[in-house]
Amino acid sequence: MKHPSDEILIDLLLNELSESEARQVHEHVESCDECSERIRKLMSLLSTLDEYPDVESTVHIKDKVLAELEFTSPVQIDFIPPERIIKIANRRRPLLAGFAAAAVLLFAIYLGQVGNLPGVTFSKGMLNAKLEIPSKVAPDSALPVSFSIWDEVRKPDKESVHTVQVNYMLASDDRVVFERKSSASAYGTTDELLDLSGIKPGGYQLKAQINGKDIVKAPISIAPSYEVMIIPDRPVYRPNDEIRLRVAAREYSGLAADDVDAVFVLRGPLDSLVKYDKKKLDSFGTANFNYHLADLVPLGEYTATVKIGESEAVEKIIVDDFTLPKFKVEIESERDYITQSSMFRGNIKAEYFFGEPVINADVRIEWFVQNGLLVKRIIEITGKTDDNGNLPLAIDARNIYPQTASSENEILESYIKVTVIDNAHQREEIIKSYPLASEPVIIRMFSSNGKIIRALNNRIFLFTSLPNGEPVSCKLKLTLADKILDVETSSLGVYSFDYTPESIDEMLEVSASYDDTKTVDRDFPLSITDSRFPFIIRPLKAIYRYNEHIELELMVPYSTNLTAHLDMYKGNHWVASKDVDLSDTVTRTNLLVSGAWGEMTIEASLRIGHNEIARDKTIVFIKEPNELNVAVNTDSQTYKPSEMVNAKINVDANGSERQASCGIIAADKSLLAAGEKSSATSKLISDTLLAGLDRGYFAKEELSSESEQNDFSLAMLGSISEHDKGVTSSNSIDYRFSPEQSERNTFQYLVMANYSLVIMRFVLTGLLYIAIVLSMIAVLVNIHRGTFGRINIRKSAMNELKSYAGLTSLAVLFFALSIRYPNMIIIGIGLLITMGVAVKLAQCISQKELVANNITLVQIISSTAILITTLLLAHQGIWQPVLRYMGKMHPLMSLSLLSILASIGCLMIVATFLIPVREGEKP
Amino acid sequence: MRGLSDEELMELIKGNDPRLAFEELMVRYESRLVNFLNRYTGSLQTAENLTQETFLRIYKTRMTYEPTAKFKTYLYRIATNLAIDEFRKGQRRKEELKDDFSDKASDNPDPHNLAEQSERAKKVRESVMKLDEKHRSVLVMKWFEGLRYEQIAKILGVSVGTVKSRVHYALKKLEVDLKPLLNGDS
Repeated sequence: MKHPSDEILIDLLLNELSESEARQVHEHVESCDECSERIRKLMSLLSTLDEYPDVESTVHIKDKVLAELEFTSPVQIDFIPPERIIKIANRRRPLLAGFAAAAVLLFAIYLGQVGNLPGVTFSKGMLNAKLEIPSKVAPDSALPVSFSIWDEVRKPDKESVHTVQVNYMLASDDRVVFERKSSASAYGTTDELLDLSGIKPGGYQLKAQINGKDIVKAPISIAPSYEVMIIPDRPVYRPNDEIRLRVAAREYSGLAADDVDAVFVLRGPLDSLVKYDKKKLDSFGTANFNYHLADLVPLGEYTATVKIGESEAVEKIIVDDFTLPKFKVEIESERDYITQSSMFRGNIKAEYFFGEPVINADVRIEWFVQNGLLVKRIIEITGKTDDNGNLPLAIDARNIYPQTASSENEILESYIKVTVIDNAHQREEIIKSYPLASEPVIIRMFSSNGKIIRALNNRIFLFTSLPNGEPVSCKLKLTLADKILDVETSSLGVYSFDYTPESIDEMLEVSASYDDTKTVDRDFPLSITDSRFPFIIRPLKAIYRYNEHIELELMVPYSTNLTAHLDMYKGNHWVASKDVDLSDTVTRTNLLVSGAWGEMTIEASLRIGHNEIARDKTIVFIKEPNELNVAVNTDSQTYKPSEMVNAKINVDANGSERQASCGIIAADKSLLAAGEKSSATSKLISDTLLAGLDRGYFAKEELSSESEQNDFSLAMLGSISEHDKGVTSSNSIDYRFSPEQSERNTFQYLVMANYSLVIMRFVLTGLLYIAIVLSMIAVLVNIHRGTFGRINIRKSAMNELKSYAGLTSLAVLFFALSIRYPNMIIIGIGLLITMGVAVKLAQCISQKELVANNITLVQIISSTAILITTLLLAHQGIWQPVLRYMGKMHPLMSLSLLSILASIGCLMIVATFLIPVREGEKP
Repeated sequence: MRGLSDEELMELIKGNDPRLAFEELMVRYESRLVNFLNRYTGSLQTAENLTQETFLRIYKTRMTYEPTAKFKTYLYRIATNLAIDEFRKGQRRKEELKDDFSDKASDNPDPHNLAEQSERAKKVRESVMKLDEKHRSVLVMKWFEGLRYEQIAKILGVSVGTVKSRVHYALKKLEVDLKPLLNGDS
């Protein structure tokens, strides 16, 4: 047999020959040395090939394949023991993601609220400004301007606003008519008086400029303002009567409004125009307007209006076809009040106007008591007058009062109505008011400013009076905080003491003895008014002479470097302003007023912090410099019909004769009796003061001792303040623009106190952003190139990670932009993306393999850290607009709310870690 | 599962609960496939990726598998096609594979007393990798995987004669290339 080929020998070794072929070749090889040698070499070659070693796979291919096919999670990690796993249904995961998003957003806002965190030194400020001016001023007067500028971001007490130059511009239709420069103090405030002399009346706009840019502007009207009065010659008119109206007008300062036009309009009961007239006021500021009523005119209420400039007065005129009263009815009594403790005794007297008594007339007496809105008739008595026209009257209120009074020591309104019908069936009636009191002595308590302020020395006044308001001296026994004090009120019924309350309300027990027999007990709760910053302004005197310095005390609980701003108003007119540095707990200052008198309101404002102002106000009275006295003397006491009356009118001021414009009314007594009217002044006082106190108020001039007088006056002011509590600062609201109403611009600035520091911050911030951008690019590139391809992570999980990284980059970009351009659109987009980031973050951390893998976990944490860092840098630009749109909450309230919500959200994020993923379940 | 043939497992994989059967199949062939592809491509990482891809493809195309065909042939055909695709990705890729090979060889932390053996193994690997892809594939399938000529012909889609001649050529080429090693050995 010839030698087999190499191919056959190889096939033999590779076991590819058939059985017979293999047997033949074997037989040959055993007999052939050459072939045997060849077989040996081939076997050696093949055995050498076996040295090519097997390898072990470096990865778990099976697991990767299963993970890729999403059969199961490739990594099994038990974060917590299975029995403690919180079961959360899959369908709730979007809800959790929503909570997580809200949590991140709120946490971002919360961080923004915290302020400058350590290490985050680069920050921007946000200035805000406010301009306070009157809405209307008189021509040629001084315009008080209060300008404030503050930092919305920094607390003013931490870093004050640097002094800025403010340029005031008064413009009309973009034409500047007035310009003045000023500079704000270290506290960012400036108060100026701008001289408006020479500027025409009209509508203007006052702008405050800083660095040539309008910061804040407010409209102002320059127009004369007058106080106008209409004085009719009789209380009621009949058809065919002449209506004579005297008009007097004066400027707010009290000087006569001369040489100005007054427009008179009289309208009928149905608002029809009856009369129109226009006159120029004389040098005394007066004018007369007359109108003759025809025989047949509509009866009812006519309206007379006099308009001078933009000021006007309105007077109601009653036209009625009445008959004059024939006789007069009076109630004579020893007291003009009724008490529960004693009988009320009096006398009804009826007398014809020609002097004769009304004899044997039918008299009906009714007593009404008003309790709240309810008026109830308590007693009805009938009788007849005697030969002198008298009828005695006695009312026993002892069994009446408890049924009607709402509480002890209250004064109720009560009225006695007397109707008298004489023998000629002529009927007259009278209604007279008698205060009804449960006790013979009324005790009242006032604090100096109508409120009790914590930690400050409040002055408390106790006032004892009869029910009609007449002051009486009483012995008092005071019990306050377990201390007992025996004192006595002055002849004006006033006792005062100083009281510094701490944090709790105390009860003041007062026991007053009058005439050594009657004792009245009252308890007064000394309720502390909650005030963020206790602050009191108090005058040393209540009544000042004209051109006298008004002395004021300003009290704060501790020494500060704050400045109080004082404004004095008369009605709605600004009178004077002053800034007072509060160097001590009690600071005294003077305020000089010239050209004005009457009741003045002094309002004090104190900027205590972040756009927060503490306010207090008080009232003083400045006496009129030249009060006129008018005396009328006639040459006889009685006159016959058609006889001439010679009357002499004397007008003097402080003893020297004065030229005056006089109006004289000669009227039948019965006509005046037909409609007695209370004067406007007494109405004002009775509206302001408590019932009965007005007597004391007007009696102040009769006081002997000046100190007593002052004490009494201060007590009166306390009562006014107390009475005025519900409408506190109504004047200022009408008068001033509240910050919300005036138009303002906020603007950004960089703190340029230290240029090198600013540059360093710029550089550091720039480096940070470069690092952020580079790291984000690196992460994205790595993800794209599949660096993570060898990690056992499903594609879907990787997609979540990619989305998270991408959205984070976008959010970082927008927040970086928001630092430079802090507007709501950029911030809003940034926040929206942040919510998306938060959702993705929640989804990422709910993927076990992402959290379990070191690389992806680092990726998640670093992306989150970068985002939070950017948020921190941007926060000062973010939180202010956000909060502005969230509503004006109290900072503490919003902080607390955000903290709670953020905590809940963070817990939800943590909860997403606990979501179990079951075997074979698609996450 | 362990008592079932490959073909029976494939039938189960077509069913509703494929997971366990598929796992069993992977357990059986994972190591063999990695070694085959490692010898074929010369790169462990590529071999692992291709193994993973082979299994994924088997799973995804499980419905097209006919039980009449031998599973092993089916498996190697897919793996070989994937490897061929990998070779066709270009010269640059080829260079990388060679680099990977040399890097892996040089980075192998062999113990000192195995230095000589490692040197021989390295020489063998180099010689195998010097073969072109056509001859290397049949050699690996024939000698290392123990497939028959007919199976290899089916896998590669060529005739049995072609497979034979490629095997013979490859061995003769190696004999020349490994001559110093074989002489030393003898």
